[in-house]
Amino acid sequence: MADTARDKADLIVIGAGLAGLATTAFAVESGLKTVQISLTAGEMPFASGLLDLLGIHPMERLNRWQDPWAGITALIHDRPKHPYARLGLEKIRQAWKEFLVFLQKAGLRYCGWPESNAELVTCAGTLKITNQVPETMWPGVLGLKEKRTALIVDFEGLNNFSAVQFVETIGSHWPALRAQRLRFPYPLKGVDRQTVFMAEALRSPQGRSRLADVISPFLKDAELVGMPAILGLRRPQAVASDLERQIGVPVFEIPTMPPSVPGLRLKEAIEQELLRGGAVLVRGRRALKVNSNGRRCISVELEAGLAKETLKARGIVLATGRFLGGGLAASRSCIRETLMDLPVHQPKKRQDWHRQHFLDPHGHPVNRAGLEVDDLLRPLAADGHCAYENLFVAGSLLAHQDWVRMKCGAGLAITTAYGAVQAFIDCSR
Amino acid sequence: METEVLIIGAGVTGAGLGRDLALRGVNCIVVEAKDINAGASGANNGLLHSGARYVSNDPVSAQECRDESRLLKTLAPGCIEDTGGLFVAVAGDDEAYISEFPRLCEQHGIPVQELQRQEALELEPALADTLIAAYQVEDAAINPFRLSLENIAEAEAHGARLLTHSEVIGFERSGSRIRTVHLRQNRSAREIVIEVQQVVNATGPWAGQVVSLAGLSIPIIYSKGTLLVTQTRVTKSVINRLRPPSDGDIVSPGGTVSLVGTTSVGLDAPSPCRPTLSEVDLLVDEAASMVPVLADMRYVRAFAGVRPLLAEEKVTDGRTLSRGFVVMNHEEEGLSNLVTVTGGKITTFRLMAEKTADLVCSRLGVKAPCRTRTVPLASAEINQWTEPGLAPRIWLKQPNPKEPLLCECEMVPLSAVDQIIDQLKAKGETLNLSAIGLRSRVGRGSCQGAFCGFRMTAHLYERNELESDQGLIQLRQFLERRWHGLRPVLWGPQLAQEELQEALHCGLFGLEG
Ligand SMILES: Cc1cc2nc3c(=O)[nH]c(=O)nc-3n(C[C@H](O)[C@H](O)[C@H](O)COP(=O)(O)OP(=O)(O)OC[C@H]3O[C@@H](n4cnc5c(N)ncnc54)[C@H](O)[C@@H]3O)c2cc1C
Ligand SMILES: Cc1cc2nc3c(=O)[nH]c(=O)nc-3n(C[C@H](O)[C@H](O)[C@H](O)COP(=O)(O)OP(=O)(O)OC[C@H]3O[C@@H](n4cnc5c(N)ncnc54)[C@H](O)[C@@H]3O)c2cc1C
Repeated sequence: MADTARDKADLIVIGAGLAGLATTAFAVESGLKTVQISLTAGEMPFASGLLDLLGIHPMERLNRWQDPWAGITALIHDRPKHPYARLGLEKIRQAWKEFLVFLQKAGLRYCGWPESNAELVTCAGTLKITNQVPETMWPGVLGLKEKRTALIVDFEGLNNFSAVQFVETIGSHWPALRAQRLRFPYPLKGVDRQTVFMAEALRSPQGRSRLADVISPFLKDAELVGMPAILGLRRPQAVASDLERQIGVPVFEIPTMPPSVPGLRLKEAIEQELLRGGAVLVRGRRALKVNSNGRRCISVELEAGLAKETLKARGIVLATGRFLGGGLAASRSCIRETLMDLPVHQPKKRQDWHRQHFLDPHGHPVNRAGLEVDDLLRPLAADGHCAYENLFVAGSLLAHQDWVRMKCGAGLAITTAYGAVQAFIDCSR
Repeated sequence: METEVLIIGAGVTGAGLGRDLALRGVNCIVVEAKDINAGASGANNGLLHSGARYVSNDPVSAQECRDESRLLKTLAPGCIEDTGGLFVAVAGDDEAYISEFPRLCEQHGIPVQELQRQEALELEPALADTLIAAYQVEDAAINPFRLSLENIAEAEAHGARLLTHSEVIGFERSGSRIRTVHLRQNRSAREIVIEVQQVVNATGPWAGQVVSLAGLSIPIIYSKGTLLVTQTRVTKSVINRLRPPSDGDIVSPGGTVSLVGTTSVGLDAPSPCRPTLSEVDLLVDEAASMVPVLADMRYVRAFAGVRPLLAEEKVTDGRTLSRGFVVMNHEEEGLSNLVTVTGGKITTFRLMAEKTADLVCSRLGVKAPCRTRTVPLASAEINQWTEPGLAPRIWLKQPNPKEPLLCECEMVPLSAVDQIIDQLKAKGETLNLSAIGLRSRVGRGSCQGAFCGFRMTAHLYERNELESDQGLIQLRQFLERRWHGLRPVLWGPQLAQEELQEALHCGLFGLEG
């Protein structure tokens, strides 16, 4: 099947950030022959693993929504150009539901309340509003809510997480915390991939019991133990329950600075499931060019060592991200879309890209730059009509959204992925 | 509190003066509104001028630079990288100016050597192939942070005191004398009063504002200059454009990076002073005509400083020592114990301090001669962390897996930060992220504080220097301060870096809330 998909796919997805992964997932689940191409893992190695849906709107008022659906309804009303407004509430709900089922199938359990956002504490000791939380972080959500007595541990030599900082900073919201520095049972390696190394060390049962031995003496009255997110790159629930069994209280993960183990874990689990579903994943290669007949896209040319490879498909989804992902590039004079040079909605001049204050709650206009689309998420050409009948966009590449400030990153990636696949199916009928 | 001499301003001039006086045995206090090198001394090209740049329009400065740069190379080698320099012209530059240049250098005793085109390109392969003339001179690179820190440190070793975050807000006069100086300690909002015998106003571009507190005025024109920091160093030596001084003329090495400067934009007041996008564009375009790689270079930040230009004809009240700097005795205006020293260059800071100290000492009746012409600048290990590229060299020579790096871009180890914190605390100075950043390279690499700002905050908590959510306040302030320099250079990969920073600081941490 893989070979036939490579010869002629139904759908080619370009990009393997969360949007590209989700697009491929929805496509595979719909029975489409799908090829996914990516140069890098996009933002996945940085992403916290939390799935935000909508936390804040309007952002200039920093208005938090306990009920994300009510928030989305208000957003759709106030911002008709936001990608959520293109999709409509029902599609967003459907996408969210189906994606969570997919994750379950992929072996990653998420927790959350269907009609309510959740709050947890980040490694900076700040409160973060999100919607779906990896099961391994969930006891932290409940612990915060119920103000439970918890031991927060960090490790000698780990430069990404400080228990004292966490405990002090969040102290006024969650007083019953105690910080303890421990020695990780294995010497830490390197400087920039420490958490990944630790997660790997916890793969083995000895690793876990040695860690439990290090933690247990400091437990005292603690009802739960919080630690940086290092509970394994695969099957974290198993690591967590193993530790819980040995320590005697639940443990929870705290999202850390990059590299983020939960982000990598999400990527790994989704990719494994996509492969099981028959998707062809082409990694480490750049899409150089999309060939078309003017009206429809026909094929994608890939960068290769010697020969170029051309892959054909009936439809293409661009999920190439923004500046970090590589879908957009900025020179001193303008912002361009890198693969097809599609028109990019953007502020008139560079002066207007960013505001005078980094933390200005209005957000930076450059973050709302991106591709404008029609209701089928097809990018618009300069004339305002869709550029190609069978080209769709998903994820952060879309214009008129600021996922960072509105806390809707994963929501945007996942729901527009769903929308793009649905639109492709509708258009192919 | 009392002192013989109160020095206002801890830029390189105030720092140098503190050392000069302390070495003569005079008791002094240096007070600084913000922190060491908060003004022009922390925002310049770091070029130790051979004098060649001034041969056409300012011969006095040219000769001062010639003599002082030679002296500093022998007395403060730890602060200097003796890179040598080139003056280069490219197609289209003024031929008459070019041919005049070597003659003027010789006339002022400034060594200069003509290079063949090929020689110059071999020496500096990054130069444009439109090169039409190149001359080698004795320019060098100077680290102004280390320079000021070491001057202050040696002054303190000889009994001087430094009060940072202490702003002069008023003088109390009695007759022709200033009796006391009033300071506000900006962190605590506490006011203190210091009894003084002599006061030196070494506040560079703020000199006019400070004397106005005593009811005097100095006519100053403020000229802002903006500079860019590249991610990697593009030339071995200092590159000057061989033309009448203009925008984007200088590409000077700063350890592992290059500094591209500068512009000249009039301001109404010495602060606020921020780099703008249009200045950045001008610099990139101009400098790229000498060094083409600068067109596509990644810039990690921009910064701006203010030059105080004296409207000369109106300066009638004191000795005008040269067009480069002035030392004013204010006696004609009825004050007998205030001296203002302003203008000049880093290159001539020692001379400025010497002339000022001579005047102050004659007023105090102190006979001890100036010693800074002969005594080498003491070098303290701790100040080495300001040197770009030093920490990585140490690390690569001797990687220590047990010791975490606090800043990965600049490879600053935790122990360096600890040393700096200990020193700040021992001196009772304000401890915050910016103070640590000033004394090390933390926050100056390509991440511009996105990662190390967080780690420094964490470390301060671990040392019990912070409690409750103080760290968040500090982190926000630190990020906002870095932003002024980051915002004008956000395109290309630096914009992608910023996107990551915002995803982290706002997307995950919610610091905007
Ligand atoms: C620090 C950080 C924290 C985060 N925290 C959260 C959080 O708390 N909650 C949450 O919901 N989300 C979070 N996110 C994740 C965020 O939601 C998504 O990462 C974001 O929406 C972008 O996803 P994307 O797939 O659109 O783009 P990207 O992740 O940028 O992916 C772009 C992809 O396109 C590929 N590509 C681009 N051009 C080409 C080409 N020509 N050829 C081949 N491949 C190409 C890239 O290689 C990459 O695979 C976080 C992200 C970051 C960086
Ligand atoms: C853009 C630019 C590029 C330059 N490039 C070079 C170069 O390459 N080579 C070179 O030799 N020279 C260069 N110079 C010149 C050089 O930087 C300055 O001459 C020198 O730094 C001046 O030092 P200073 O101590 O006199 O003033 P500053 O460094 O400006 O110090 C004045 C201090 O006074 C403090 N202050 C102000 N008001 C008060 C108050 N009320 N109370 C207490 N403290 C106060 C300020 O906070 C500040 O720290 C450059 C200057 C600029 C602006």
